[in-house]
Amino acid sequence: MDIQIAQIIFQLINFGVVAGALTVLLYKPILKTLKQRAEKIAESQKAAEQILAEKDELDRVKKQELEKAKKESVQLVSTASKEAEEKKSELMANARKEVKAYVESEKEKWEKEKAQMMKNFQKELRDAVFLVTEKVISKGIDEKTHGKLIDESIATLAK
Amino acid sequence: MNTATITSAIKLSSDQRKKLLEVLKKKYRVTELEEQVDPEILGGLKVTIGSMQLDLSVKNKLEALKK
Repeated sequence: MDIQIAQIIFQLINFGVVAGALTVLLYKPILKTLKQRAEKIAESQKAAEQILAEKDELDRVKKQELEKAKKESVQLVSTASKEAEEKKSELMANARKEVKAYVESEKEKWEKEKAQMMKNFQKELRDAVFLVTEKVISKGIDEKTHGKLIDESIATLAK
Repeated sequence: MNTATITSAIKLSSDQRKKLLEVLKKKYRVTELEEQVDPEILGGLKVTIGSMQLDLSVKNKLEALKK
């Protein structure tokens, strides 16, 4: 078997050309694509990590806000209860005051009416007693007593 | 001439009239009496001299008691 150097050289050149062509046309673009893909995956991973971190931060803020809101609501309820209690006490105090004033006013009114009634009754009684007395006197005085009364009047005038 | 109007429940006797005139003459210079009978005064006398009135009637005493 003869070794054909020219053939070998030719084959080598041929291989080199094919290898070069493959390198330029296939290997490099594939490498470039792989590199780009790896970069993209890394970016995506980084973005995913960032999103996860943001999510954690959001969860933390959410939890914090919830606790804050809960505290505020408890405080609000407490304040509202306290205010309602104060308002209730104030209303009760006012109502008691009004009732007391009304009762006192009515009592005073009644006392005045009672006093007036008593006064009227006493006047009517006195008038009735004097009317009866007048009647009794007008019918019961005889001439002798009349004379005596006139004498007494004259004596009084003389003083 | 000073006149006194005398109101009584019954008519005055002449003695009472005389005494009364004496008293009124002495105290108020009354010279004449004008008599009136009013049973409403119940007893005693009511003397009016001009605008002055001396009420010594039983009715007046009762009214005073009322007050």
